[in-house]
Amino acid sequence: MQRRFLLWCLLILYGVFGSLGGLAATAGEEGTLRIALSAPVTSLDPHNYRSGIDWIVDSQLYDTLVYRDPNGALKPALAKSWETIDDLTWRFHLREDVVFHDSTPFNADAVKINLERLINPEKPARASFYLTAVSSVEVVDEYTVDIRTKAPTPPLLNFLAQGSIGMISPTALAQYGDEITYHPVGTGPFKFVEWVPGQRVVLERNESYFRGAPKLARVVFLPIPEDASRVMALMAGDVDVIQFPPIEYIPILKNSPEYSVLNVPGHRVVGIWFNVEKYPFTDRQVRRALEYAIDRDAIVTQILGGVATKAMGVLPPGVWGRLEYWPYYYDPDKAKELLANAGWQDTDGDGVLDKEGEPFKVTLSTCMGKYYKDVEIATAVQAQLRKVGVDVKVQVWEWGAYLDHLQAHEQDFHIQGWGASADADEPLRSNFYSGKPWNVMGYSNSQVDELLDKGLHEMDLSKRRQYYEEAQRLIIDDAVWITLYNEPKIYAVRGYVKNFHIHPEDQLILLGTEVKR
Amino acid sequence: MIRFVLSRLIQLPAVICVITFIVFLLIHATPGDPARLLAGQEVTQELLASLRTELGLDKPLLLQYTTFLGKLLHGDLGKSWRTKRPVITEIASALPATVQLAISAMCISLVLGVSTGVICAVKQHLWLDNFVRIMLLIGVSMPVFWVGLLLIYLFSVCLKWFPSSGYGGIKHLILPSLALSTYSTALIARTTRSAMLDALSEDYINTARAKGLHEVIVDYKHALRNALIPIVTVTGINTGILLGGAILCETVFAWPGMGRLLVQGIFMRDVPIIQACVLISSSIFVLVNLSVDVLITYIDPRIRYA
Repeated sequence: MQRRFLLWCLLILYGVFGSLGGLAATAGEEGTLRIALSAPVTSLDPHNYRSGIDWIVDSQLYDTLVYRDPNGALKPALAKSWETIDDLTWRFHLREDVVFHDSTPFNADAVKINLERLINPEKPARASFYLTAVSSVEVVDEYTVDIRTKAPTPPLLNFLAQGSIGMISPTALAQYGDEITYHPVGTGPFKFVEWVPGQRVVLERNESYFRGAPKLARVVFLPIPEDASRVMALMAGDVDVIQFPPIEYIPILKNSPEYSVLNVPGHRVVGIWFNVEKYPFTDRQVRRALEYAIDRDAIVTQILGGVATKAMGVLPPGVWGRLEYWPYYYDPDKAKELLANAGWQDTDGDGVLDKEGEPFKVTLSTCMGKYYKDVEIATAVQAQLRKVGVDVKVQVWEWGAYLDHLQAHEQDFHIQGWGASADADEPLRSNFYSGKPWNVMGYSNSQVDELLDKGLHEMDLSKRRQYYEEAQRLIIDDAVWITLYNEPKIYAVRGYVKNFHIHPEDQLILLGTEVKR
Repeated sequence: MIRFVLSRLIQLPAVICVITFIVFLLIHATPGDPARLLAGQEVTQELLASLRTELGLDKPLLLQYTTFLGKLLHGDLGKSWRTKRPVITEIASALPATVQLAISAMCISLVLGVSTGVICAVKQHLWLDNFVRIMLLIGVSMPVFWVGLLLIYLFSVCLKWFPSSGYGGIKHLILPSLALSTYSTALIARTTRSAMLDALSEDYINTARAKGLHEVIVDYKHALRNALIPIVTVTGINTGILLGGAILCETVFAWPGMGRLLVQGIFMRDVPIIQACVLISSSIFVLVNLSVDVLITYIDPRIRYA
């Protein structure tokens, strides 16, 4: 009697759930691309972006004067050509066939309004630090604009190519002011439809896009912060593209004909940064010795599953002025030899080196989940250094607390990445120039400072490159960083999505993308 | 009764004060500079300093707290430091989602939990009892996010019955509610079972049976009604568990609720959002428990409050 009762209960439950569900609960429509991002969008005002996620969406809504292609070459975008009138003045000739999404024409006035909003000294936009060199913007005629700088600024074009220097419609800016983030109007391939904060951003095709209308009718961005949920959303057919699949899933997705995995080296180098103000890392010989103690190949192939490439310098590929130079290689015996030369021997036989009675004990600080497999890499480094007699303790920090810890220079050495902008000056200056806030290593080399200062205003590009390459050589020889890998941008895509391309700088190239289910 | 309810309601503001003060101290004792987190890595020192002034972080702690309290008394919860939208707007868009989730999880756990507990206690088959007790132990032990991921895998990826994440209609609500209800169902089932067993062993049950009453009436009208008190009390406390579990559940299912809002707020040290979320959660908890206490007097007339 009870058994039949239970059986009926189960059948009813199955029926109820099955009918409520329905097959293929979220099949997408033709011509709509659904992209799952790893965090929600927080701003659609490019001048006041808050994260790389915002850039991804902004790159569909807005254009910049100059476009930097995936190989780092600068190409015309909203500006069709440019020239330098003198060392301080750059003249841009604008396209005459561009219209904002609200039908406002794009012209020199629009450029002036946008740039002035960015550099407004009373209320600088967040992206203003890219334009600190700009002193004024002048309209020459309807489609010609001059940008004047305070001092010769060789990387100006690279700065203007940053996604955050996107052009917003002046009509919309006048109407909405800072609320523009909820009513974005640009010139981009897609127009804004709706943004439900925390849930989705929906864009639709801009038929009059100056490069030709995109093939997609709509693009929907959804945030799915939990890695496993994001991958499962792709597998369930709820989304067509996902950002950053977890590394463990990549072989599964690659081996299936239903998905493809796109991988592009991004502009971030991740490594271990020495605090050169803290003993024993004050000793250059010790730092150079430890460079030979780290097996970077093992880290890249085994922990990262080969999705990243080994870093061969302190700047990622694609940055203008980058020097590919890495004189170190994995050789633990050489590391021990160099440490011995620096006075570190294992005198008491406990497996840990010591000097003047003090053992070589240090703490490696890391955050968790900020970079791919950061804690696992820290643990591997701990083991590798133990082999050469260095006792490392790994300390995991929450990101907010980590920032405080680093700014106070409390760490011995730590794991971090730096997203470089496209010109060598910014990453080198921010991290290696004496006294800069993000020079948490406390590194100070007057030769490097001098080279960076000379390069900042050197308009002769070949001389400029020499300064920066020399600076990088000094930094690398000083072994300030143990760089590990170039962080990749990885997307997983369903097979029926064609022509989906990733740009190394947190942008997606959706102009030719099609969805053919 | 009215006096009782009023006196509990009057305690609410005091509770809020104490909780917001504790949260305030906790946030400021935690390492992490809100201004730096909001501004990002490339910010200049000047921008950082002006941001700190804008957020009021350069003022002494007590002044910051009293300013916040003053605004609160006027109903002004401030603006989110992260999104710059009024906190009320953020909460208004997030709260309904969490309430939906919590209520459906509560309904599922009550229906499943009470029926399982009653069946176990009434039928008293050893195999059923042991089986259910093991299932309940598993239910209490499984972390909600793991249950969530399993449900997504089974029902979205394999069977394709439900969407894997996101907010929409009933279809989107079922998996998150099931995941969230796991712990509560187990808890309520265990409570029901032991309460029913206690009730069924009372003398008046024998009297009822001796009177010739049908077994179903004995079980439900007499035993269950008396067993309801611990069940209802546990349900009140369960609200807290559901609100807490909602945080993990919302992350797994990308459910745009208050839990996710709170977590984002904590990572970015967005003080107005954190305060508002904690404030609302505590108020809900206090009010639900008040309702539970009132409800009990209707269930069991013997209970009176002085």
